[in-house]
Amino acid sequence: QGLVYQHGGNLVSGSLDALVRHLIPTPDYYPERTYIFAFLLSSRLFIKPHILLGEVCKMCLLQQPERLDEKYREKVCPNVIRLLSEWAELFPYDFRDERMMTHVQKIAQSDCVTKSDVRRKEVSLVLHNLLHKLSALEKYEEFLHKINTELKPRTFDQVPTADMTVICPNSVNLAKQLTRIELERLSYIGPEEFVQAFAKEAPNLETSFKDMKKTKNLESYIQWFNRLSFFVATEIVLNTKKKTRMKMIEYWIEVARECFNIGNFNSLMAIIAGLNMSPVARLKKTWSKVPTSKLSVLEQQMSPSSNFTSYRSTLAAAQWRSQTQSSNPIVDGLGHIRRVGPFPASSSSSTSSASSHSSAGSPHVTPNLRPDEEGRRRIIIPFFSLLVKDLYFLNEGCASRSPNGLINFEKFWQLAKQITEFMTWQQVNCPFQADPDVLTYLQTNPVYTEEMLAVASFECEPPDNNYEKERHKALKARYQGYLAGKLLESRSNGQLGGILSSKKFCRILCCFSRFTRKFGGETARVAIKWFSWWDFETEVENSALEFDDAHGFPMVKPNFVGFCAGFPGSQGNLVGKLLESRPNGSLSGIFSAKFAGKFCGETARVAIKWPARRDFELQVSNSSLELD
Amino acid sequence: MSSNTAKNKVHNFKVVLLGEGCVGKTSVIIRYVEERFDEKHVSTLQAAFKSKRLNLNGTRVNLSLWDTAGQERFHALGPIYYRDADGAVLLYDVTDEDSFTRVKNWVKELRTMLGHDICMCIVGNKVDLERSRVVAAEDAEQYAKSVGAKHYLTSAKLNKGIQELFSDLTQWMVEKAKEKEGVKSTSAFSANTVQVLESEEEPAVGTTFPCCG
Repeated sequence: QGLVYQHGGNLVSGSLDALVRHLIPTPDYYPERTYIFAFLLSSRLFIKPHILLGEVCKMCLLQQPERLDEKYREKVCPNVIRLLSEWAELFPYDFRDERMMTHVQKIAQSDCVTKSDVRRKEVSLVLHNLLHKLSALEKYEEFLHKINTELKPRTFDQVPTADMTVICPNSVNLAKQLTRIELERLSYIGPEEFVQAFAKEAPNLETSFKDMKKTKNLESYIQWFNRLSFFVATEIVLNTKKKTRMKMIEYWIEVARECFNIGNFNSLMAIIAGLNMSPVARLKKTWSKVPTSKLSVLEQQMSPSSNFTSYRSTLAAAQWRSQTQSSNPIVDGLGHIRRVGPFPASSSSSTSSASSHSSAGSPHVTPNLRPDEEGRRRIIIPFFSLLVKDLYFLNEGCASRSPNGLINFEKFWQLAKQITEFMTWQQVNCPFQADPDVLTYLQTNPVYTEEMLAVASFECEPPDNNYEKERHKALKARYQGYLAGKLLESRSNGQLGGILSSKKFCRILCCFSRFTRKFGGETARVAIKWFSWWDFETEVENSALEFDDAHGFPMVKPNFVGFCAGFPGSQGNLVGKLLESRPNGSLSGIFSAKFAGKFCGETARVAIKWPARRDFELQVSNSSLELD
Repeated sequence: MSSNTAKNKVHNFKVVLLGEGCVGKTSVIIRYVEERFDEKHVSTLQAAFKSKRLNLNGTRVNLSLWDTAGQERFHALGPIYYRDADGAVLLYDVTDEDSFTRVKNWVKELRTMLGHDICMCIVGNKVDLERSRVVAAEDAEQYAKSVGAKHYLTSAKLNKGIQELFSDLTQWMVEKAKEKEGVKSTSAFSANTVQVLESEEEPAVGTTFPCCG
């Protein structure tokens, strides 16, 4: 009735109605678990989960004049509870929806449940487990929210107090900590998030996904991958000395190797990507002294050539290892649709021997595996980007409906198969002890943005071709004012002396020689703290500034005099705030006003935006300042 | 087939497709390789890897096409994909200004990292949506010229301009390869065939780390 089967008995396609009916239990029919998973996973492309559950309720539990008499409901009830239980177990996040919960309540309050102690208990167990999963998710989301709100892009004035090699000198330990993070973040991704991710890209799909999407765990995990790459790059370019840069690169290569040994391919790839990002890759002088043979081996392992063929066979080997290591096979309710691929013997032995090495740091290597060893051999953290790509391709490459309008269920079997495999990887418990300091540093220490990485990289090694020179120039124009401001703000003594005239200071504070040139550009902002006007003016006059002649000077004269007169103590601060807030950034009318008086006091801070440097100096010399 | 040895050599070229999500990278590549999937042909692992053998006036060419579809949010992965590429197809959507800006950024990055060794084609896709077009052909053309790239307009939907794009690009890469060969006539054209190297290095994975099990 609307379902098409292949010779072997495999369901290959069907109308939506027929597929829905295939899910709905009767007293003597209960769908196979593989079908439940595959259909619940992909049906959301056509029908929203709460509507589907509504159908189930309607067909099984609601009173209807025809055949749905009490006896029928009584008989079908255990199957409905079972379906609900499996649904809640496989797709708990679906139940974040009030409309879903309304149906759940209907089931819980239906006569055939309330009348039986056994069934009541069954349902409350389902609810209990669900609550447990959803509150864990909530906690995780709070944690992510917290670190994301605290997380701001790194600024140039942030003087690095420590780096990764100080916080975690042992690369093996770092690889373990990375694995902890990966496993934690991986474990929260719901299988349906993959399907929902496709749907976002195709706005004309049949159901609205904004309405359905309740979680962002997949996106957060991608964010983590990006963060780790940028983190690695930042850690490297932060070192202004070539020697320490080299050490840092070597350190990360070691960490990458350990990740490989553990089976943490995602961190491995993020580190390789970080090392290949242009701000790092372009540091030729640094790289020339780094032994790279280990890195090349790893890069070959993860090379995209022939669609990541080496990685795929390594992954297959790791999977074999994962499945055979334990006397208790991984609990896998979907066992029979799980793919067990053929593994090249040589590659599997090389991976497992490689892995046994790094854990053998303890003096006594016993032939029997310790429990944590057993745990670590189960670990597979796939290179997530490729997983997403394969699923994306499966979705793009195959039509969801055949020309006759039937749903192409073969595609959904495939999706289910690949995602099931992923789910077994998700379920591994991390055998490694948490190292809170390292975990915090990895997840919260600020990293540079792409542009800032480039700026810092040019400080490490100057541009060496025309493209780089152009890029450098453009970046400088954008960031100089900003940089200078940040630098000035960060100075503890608040003195201007030694900044405009000396290059040394900015070098120390991370890398901006010649920052004094022009602070042009809309982003130019300089925050100045100073003890006395004298120093300021003298320094400005002494500094060798280059002027930007291109800009005119907008004349705006806000009435500061009156405003500031009443605030002797905090004047400087106020003026600073005012200047910051001025949209045109002009200095005019500020220095010439008599309010200037003295901005002494520790809180004095003036932030200046201006379109052209010349104007700035002119204004300073024209101004009639009262001096202290 | 010609008995000329130079012509018998197979050129292996790597071409990377870059561009924002939704510009139609996958559609373009599927169109080009002419491999329409249907419900009977559910392809899995190798789906993402497309290669095409060509015979261009007697020169045999093997094109490896590297699609980056679905990878757009993985910001740091670009260099992994464009590394050692001989050609790049930079796609934008003619109805989406931002996607064109993204192409400009790719151009900058590729030129900085790979210099002039790479043949770049800037491709405006979805010309079937002429009415909602926002990126003017002349602007894109001019921009392409200014950075030493070629500009094409395609429609994956109508299968327009795609064959032409890839055959021009291939021709260009062949010329460039021949130029290079001419410069250093002694060097075999082996930059793209690294099988030998790979098989030499592979055992090293297992042997780098002493086995303690």
